[in-house]
Amino acid sequence: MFSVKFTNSEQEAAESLAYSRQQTLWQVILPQCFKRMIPPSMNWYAILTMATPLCSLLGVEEIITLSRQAIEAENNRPELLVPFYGFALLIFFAYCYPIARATIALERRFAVKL
Amino acid sequence: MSNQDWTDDQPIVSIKDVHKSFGDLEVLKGISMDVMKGECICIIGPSGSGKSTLIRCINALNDIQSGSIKVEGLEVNDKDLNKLELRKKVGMVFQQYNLFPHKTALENIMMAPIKVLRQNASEVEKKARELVKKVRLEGKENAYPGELSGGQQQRVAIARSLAMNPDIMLFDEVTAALDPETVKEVLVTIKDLAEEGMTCMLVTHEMGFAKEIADHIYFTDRGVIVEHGPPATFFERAEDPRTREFLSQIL
Ligand SMILES: Nc1ncnc2c1ncn2[C@@H]1O[C@H](COP(=O)(O)OP(=O)(O)OP(=O)(O)O)[C@@H](O)[C@H]1O
Ligand SMILES: [Mg+2]
Repeated sequence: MFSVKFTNSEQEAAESLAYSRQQTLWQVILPQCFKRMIPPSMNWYAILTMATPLCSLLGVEEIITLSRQAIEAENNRPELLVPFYGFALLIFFAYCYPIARATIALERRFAVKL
Repeated sequence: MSNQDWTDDQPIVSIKDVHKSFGDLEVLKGISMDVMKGECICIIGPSGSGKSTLIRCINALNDIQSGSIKVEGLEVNDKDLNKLELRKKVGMVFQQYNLFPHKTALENIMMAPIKVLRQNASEVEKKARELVKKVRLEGKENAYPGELSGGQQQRVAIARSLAMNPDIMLFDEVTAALDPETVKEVLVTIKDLAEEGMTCMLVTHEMGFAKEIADHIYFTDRGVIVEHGPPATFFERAEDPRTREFLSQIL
């Protein structure tokens, strides 16, 4: 009885302004989807990066595992813990911070005040 | 079928025995009305009586099951209808404004003429700025919809429709979502338009306004037009008990 159809109110406005389906998609729907997708997807990417050590459970080599192996190779000297893990942290920071900055910049550029 | 032979001594919008159902629910049960060029008509009636549905059929946002709607001679109930041609003639303003939130006020107004009509951008901008002035929003050109009040957004929406140079404007309860203070600024804009000779069809709950600007008033209830007439006779001498009951509640 009901046909499920994706319509939102801006889409109807576009239709009533004689936009074709293509134009509605590119000018109205996708820009809004894009805007809504940026912050969550970028955040997920950063979280994913930081969660990669979990992959070591599966035997994938990554930086935290490598740090620990390096410390073991140096006979587990406790004074090495801070510099070695600190170095790993720096690498994470160097990788994730620009992503976070870029996210903020993009969010500003596509600012939609709803 | 073709609109070649339409002349403006014939109705610009001619609706004949229109039926429309959503599934099993019949919402329009044989609606007929004629609107002449330059006329302003108001449709009033209780909630759910099919006012929005009727007005949305005119620019083919809803299709109809039977009957005929002709806009400048162009048959809307035709599976080969060129909807884009129809919608270039008919502007529509919604209750919830429906502005594009990722564009500024000026961009909202300019987009369709540039993208749809492929007009020259600098000319479109010039015209858009005139429209901003016409709806009294100077200074708000670069504001995003979220930064504007409801009344201001609604006036941007009106300007956005006007930028397409339509011959007919449809308004569906465009002041229903507004604060009482901002209702007036939007009504003034519509009144200006009607006085300039734009053909307007509006659904409204503002009886005072309808009385003031309408050439003709239609009262709908449960999918039929119960009663219609020019405001003077309509408000003074409504005959049908349903109309009288409705008016007594609202006035
Ligand atoms: N897309 C749809 N699908 C199914 N039913 C619908 C749809 N749109 C409207 N209806 C139904 O059609 C009837 C008429 O709706 P419509 O919106 O035209 O009423 P209205 O006169 O504009 O009312 P209001 O004053 O509340 O805006 C209602 O019963 C409504 O539930
Ligand atoms: Mg309605």
